[in-house]
Formats: sequence, C-alpha cells, structure tokens
Amino acid sequence: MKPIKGGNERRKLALISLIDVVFILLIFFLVSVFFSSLPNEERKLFLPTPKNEPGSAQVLIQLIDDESFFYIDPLVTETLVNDITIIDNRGGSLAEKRNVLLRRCTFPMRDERSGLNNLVEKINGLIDHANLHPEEEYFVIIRCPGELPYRKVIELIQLLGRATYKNIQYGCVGGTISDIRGSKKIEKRLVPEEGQMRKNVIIEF
Amino acid sequence: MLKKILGIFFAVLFVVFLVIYVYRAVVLSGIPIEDADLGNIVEEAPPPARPGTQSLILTGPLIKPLVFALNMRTPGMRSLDWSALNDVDFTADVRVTAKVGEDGALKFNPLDDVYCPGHAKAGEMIGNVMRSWTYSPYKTGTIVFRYNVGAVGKKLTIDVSKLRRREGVDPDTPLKDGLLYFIDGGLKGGEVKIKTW
Repeated sequence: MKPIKGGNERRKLALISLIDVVFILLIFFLVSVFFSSLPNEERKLFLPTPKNEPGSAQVLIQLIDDESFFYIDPLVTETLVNDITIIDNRGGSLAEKRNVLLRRCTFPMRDERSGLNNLVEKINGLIDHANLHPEEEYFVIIRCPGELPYRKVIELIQLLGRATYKNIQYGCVGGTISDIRGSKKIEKRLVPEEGQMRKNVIIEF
Repeated sequence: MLKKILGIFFAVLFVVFLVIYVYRAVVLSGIPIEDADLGNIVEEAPPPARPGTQSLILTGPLIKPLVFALNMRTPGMRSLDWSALNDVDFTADVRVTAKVGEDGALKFNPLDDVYCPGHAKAGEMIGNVMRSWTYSPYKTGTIVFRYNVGAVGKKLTIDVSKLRRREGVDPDTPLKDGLLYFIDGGLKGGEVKIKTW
C-alpha cells in the first residue's frame, strides 16, 4: 500500500478485506444450504436439548445429606410393586405409598455395626451383578440436591465406572428428597416385554 | 472510478449478505420472527426440565410367567401307558372329574368321579395312574379328563375352564398352561384337546 501523499490524495478503499469477508459469507451460505435442505426432524438432531419426560432407570440414587441416602434397585422395585398392589387393593392413600417408599428405600450412609459406607456397598453389589450379567444394561439416575458438593456425585460416577463391561450408564440431575416426600403420584405399571412381564414404579414429583 | 464502483458494489453485497445471514439464522432456529427478539426475558427463563427432574420410571426385573403343569418331580408319579390301555379296552370311554387342591394334588373319588359305564377295567387303570399326578400349585378348581380310546381324532380332552388362579399367587404374573397329562405309548399331541372355555 502506497503512503498517502498530501491532503489532496484520495483515500484508498480497503477492498481486499471487504472481498475476504464477502467470500467468507459466500462459503458460509454454500455450506448452510446443506443444513437448510434437511427436513425439520433431522435439523433438530443438531440441537440436542433435554426433553421434559420421565427419567427411566433401573436404579435411583437420591443423595439426601452426609448422613443418609435414598436408593431403589430392581429388586426393591419388585417389592414396591407388591406393596403398591396391596395398598391399592385396600383403597390406601398416596401418603401411605409415600411412607412405604421412604421407609423401604432410605438408608443411613454409615452402617452402625460394620462402619462401612452403605451406599458404596450397594453400588459394589450393583457392579458385581452387572459383571455377572454383561448382556444386561443398567441405567442409574443420580439426584443430588444443590446444597451438597458435586464431588459426591463425581465419587459415585467413579465407582460406577468400575463395571468391567461398561454396562452401567448414568445420568445426573438436581433434586431433593422433598420431591419424593411430596410426590403427586406413585403407581405401578406392568409392561409386557418379550413374553414376560416387567413391573415398573412411576413416581411423579 | 472503477475501484469506487467496485467498492460500492462489494459494500452493498456485504450488507445484503449480512441481512440474509441474520434472516437465515432466525429461520433455521425455528423461532417465529416476531419472537426472535428475546429482550430481557432471557435472564428470567427457567432451566429446561430434564428427564428425572419431574418424574421417574423405575424399571423392575423381568418376571417370568408361571406355568401350571404336572410337577414331574413328585415322587412316585406314574405315566399312563396308552398302548396298554388300548390292549385292555380299545373302545374305552372314561371321564374323570377331579379337583386340583391348594397343594396341586389331583383329588378324586375312584367310585364317584370316574365315570366309565361298561369300561370298568380301563376306568380303574386310568384312576390308579391319575391318583399319582400332582400339578404346580398355581391353580385350583375342577379339571375334567375324557379318555376316548376308540375315537378318531381327539382321543383325550382335558377341560381346564373351571380352574382358577390360586389365592396368593401374584395376580400380575402371567400364568400359562404347560404339560397337563403324563401319557406314554402312542398318544400323539394332535389327539389331545385342551378345553379352556
């Protein structure tokens, strides 16, 4: 670029930069033609936003505080289904179901006799089961209240990651035991699957 | 002069592209243009609900269906020899009305419940064998066996329509019928009819 000589010299336009920008925009539009030609459903794949739907899992871990936790696994679910059936048959209330749920599934963090961490023991049991049944997939929902340090969730994830066949997956969400205590609906749902029956429990907060 | 025209041309092109870019960005996001300007509400927008924050479905283990069938582990259980029955009375027509008890045992009175006019020997033979039969304890009620040895087609009819799920058996667990008779020596599967209603 030549230096500007004197006040009468005309200023030169920065054409090269302008052309650069125009070409970049051109390339952008050429690429975006591909996206805009996709049907709506496929375009959505590029925007993975969480859906407002029930979380489906085999295992629920609800951290309560440093002293206790809430835990449901498939065996407990089966027992819960039977309890709910009994309560429903005698016309029991939602409060009764909540009580049964909380009584059955709330555990102290430390075992008084052995001093072991109950939650760790339960997760170890789950891992043992998952290692014995590599063909099965497990999904664990970990709910953690905002006031607890997230470190606790990380510790649980590290434990779950020890499954040999990596057949334990997990999802973490925020939530407190108050959600379960004040649940609006607790009911059983029987789902036929491959000629057999799966007994599920639905909890709505 | 040419440079000036070129400059204006590219500047206009740039502005046009910019407008198109913004328009396309809005259209691609799928938001109506009038709603595209979020203004101040962004700070107030609640975090989106994620699976597990509002409701949970806890899936239990798969429950295998129960099978109502003869309990082959019952000590002393005997099979009915169809060819021997043929030899004893090839026109035998015997009806046995029995009760399946809470424990699954087959109970009947050889005198009253085995109806075999003119075929006493065949009736006695069938009754003796059937007394040793025990079912899995999932159903109770009346079960009727009709042995028609000389028939063409269905030679054995078993009526299970009056059997009911035993009290105490989980009502949610599927209950299927399995092997309901223990007969050797020539009776084919196609010659047996299970009457369920």
